[in-house]
Amino acid sequence: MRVKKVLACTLAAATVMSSAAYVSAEETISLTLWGAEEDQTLLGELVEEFKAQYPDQTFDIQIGVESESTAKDTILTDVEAAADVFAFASDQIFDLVNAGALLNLEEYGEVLSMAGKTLDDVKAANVAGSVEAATVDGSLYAFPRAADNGYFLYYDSSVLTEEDVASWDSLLAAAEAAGKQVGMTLASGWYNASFFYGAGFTNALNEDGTTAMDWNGTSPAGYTGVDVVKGMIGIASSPAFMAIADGDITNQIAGGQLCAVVSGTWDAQAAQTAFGDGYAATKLPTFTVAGEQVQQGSVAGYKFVGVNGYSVNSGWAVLLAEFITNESSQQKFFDQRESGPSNSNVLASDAVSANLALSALGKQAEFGVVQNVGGKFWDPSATFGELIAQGNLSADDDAGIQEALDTLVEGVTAPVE
Amino acid sequence: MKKMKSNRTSRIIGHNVLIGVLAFIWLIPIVWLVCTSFSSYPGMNTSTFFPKEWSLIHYQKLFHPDTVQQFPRWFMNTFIIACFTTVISTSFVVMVAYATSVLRFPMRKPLMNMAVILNLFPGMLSMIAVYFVLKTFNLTNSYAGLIMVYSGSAGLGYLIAKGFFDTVPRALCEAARIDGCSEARIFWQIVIPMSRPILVYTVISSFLAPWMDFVFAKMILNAGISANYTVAIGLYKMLDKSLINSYFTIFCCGGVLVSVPISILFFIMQKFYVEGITGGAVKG
Repeated sequence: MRVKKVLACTLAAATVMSSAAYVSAEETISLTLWGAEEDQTLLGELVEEFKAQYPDQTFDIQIGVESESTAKDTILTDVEAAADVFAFASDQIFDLVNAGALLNLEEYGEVLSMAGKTLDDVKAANVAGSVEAATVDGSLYAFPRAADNGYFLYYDSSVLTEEDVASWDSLLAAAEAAGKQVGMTLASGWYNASFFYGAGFTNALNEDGTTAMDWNGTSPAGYTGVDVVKGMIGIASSPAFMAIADGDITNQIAGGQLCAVVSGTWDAQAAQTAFGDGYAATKLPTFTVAGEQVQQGSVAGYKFVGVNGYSVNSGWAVLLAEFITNESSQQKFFDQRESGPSNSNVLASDAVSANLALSALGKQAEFGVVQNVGGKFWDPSATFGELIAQGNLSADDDAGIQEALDTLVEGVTAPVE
Repeated sequence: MKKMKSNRTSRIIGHNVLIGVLAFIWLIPIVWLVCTSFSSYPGMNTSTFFPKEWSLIHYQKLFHPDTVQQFPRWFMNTFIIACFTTVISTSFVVMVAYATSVLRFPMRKPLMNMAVILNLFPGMLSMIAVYFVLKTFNLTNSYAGLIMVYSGSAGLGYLIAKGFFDTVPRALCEAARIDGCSEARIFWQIVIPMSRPILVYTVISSFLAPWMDFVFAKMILNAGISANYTVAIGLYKMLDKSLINSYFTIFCCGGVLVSVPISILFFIMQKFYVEGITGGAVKG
């Protein structure tokens, strides 16, 4: 803690006086940085560039491997032993903040002046949704790095036309006529929530860590949960629909049976290989709720880079985290990893708009919802999706559907012990 | 007479068929692993049992480390840890076994009982305590810490070795003692040479523990530095959601190669193993 204060003072002093005061700063600064395995090479380059930015300071920066999707679990095992700077997926932010694993960046605003920026610059540079998702109780807790953690529709344009992919009904009909299938994962709360979000239902995270959910009632848009489920059953019961197990999507794309699939940018390569010249991507289709066509929603997910609340060199850690997420770094992430940027300038560049998958993601982003849910959300919602995928619910059994929804809501909203 | 003979034949056939069926069932996963490791498709293939195209490419990739997989490095790390652990824990086991078998001292029985009871508790129970102790001494993320964890409680597994030492004729030890031999010399020059089989068994089992361990390695090597991983963690990391599609077959290759040192160890040791048993039998 003392070191942290000293550093903060040094930095504050450095901003007031000349940077010469900073040159004499003490010994080597050791930092650990965690990022996904596939980003390691790029992170290595970025770290070298970061070092080059501050030639007067010696660094010892180690890069470790921790996938964004599992960062929370690893970090919360022992926050003190976790990296100073780490990448994580946006849905983990609440748990990380609650555990004190993330530094409140508002308190480190003046540190950024070392990089010639303010916190407001950072907020303005990234798309509003990403900043909103990185903000907890009015304070920014992480730097947005990517806005590609969402899903949309890949399709084979040699089989399906643009009109076909506009709605699930026409999509499934066309697929059936072509003897192909349309795939989507239902047994995951991350995917199946898209139908409910589309119909105006919501989720929210309460202060005590429980999840609020209204899916068994009536949405503000006037649709009931039962209607939505009927729409889902209508899709799932089609012979041209393939319910894919969570995590099996890439394998199924490669299988060759699909002509369209709901997935995210991580499957761009697989879809490109499977669909060849017909490779295309667009927003999700509409689906039928109570006789009307409703646009299917989606989950808008971001990737963040945060600073460990227990970091000894937190000032430098903030600078490093900012550096990895700044405009030029995001540009490199896009160039090398096809990662969808959250930085508005990079997002607006021609190269990004020319990328089929990312532009489809952009089209779907309009209907994207930031999924604020607690840990109790996932299992019941996965089971619920499985019920529909397996055909255990029948479309004309309103009471049965309502009961299943009530069970789902009860499970999800259960108190956290 | 004839009937009895045919009865016996049919029983033998029955037994062998049963063994054959069981062996077949047990071998399926291994055959699958080996076959899949020769697949040319990098991701997970669940649609067919055998790969559609065969290729050695993923074995080549395994030996050309990239940022994700550094198999040769992990292999060496694990090998070093396993070797140290083998030496330390084998000597612990043998020494405890010798003390409890040959020497007589107060509290021998209660200590033995306590050790056996302690050994009944799964080591995982102490995991969190072990972690915090190591952290206090700054031994997390170090091989020294890992080796200590693996070999620390090895002495408790003395029971089998002790049973073997009990079969070494007491008269030999007594004769040596009368001739003025020290305990250490009795241990090294009389008991150990006569106990090769159990030594082999101890070496193999103490090599296997660190070689195959995942839980403690994952817990102690938590800095996420890929180059420091053991094979188990490294292979596990390849199954990450975003990696499995390009690394699954490499993972299978790794799985196959991991069994190589164990097999070699067993082949070398097997000679002594058989020799020890038959030799012991002749001496009666």
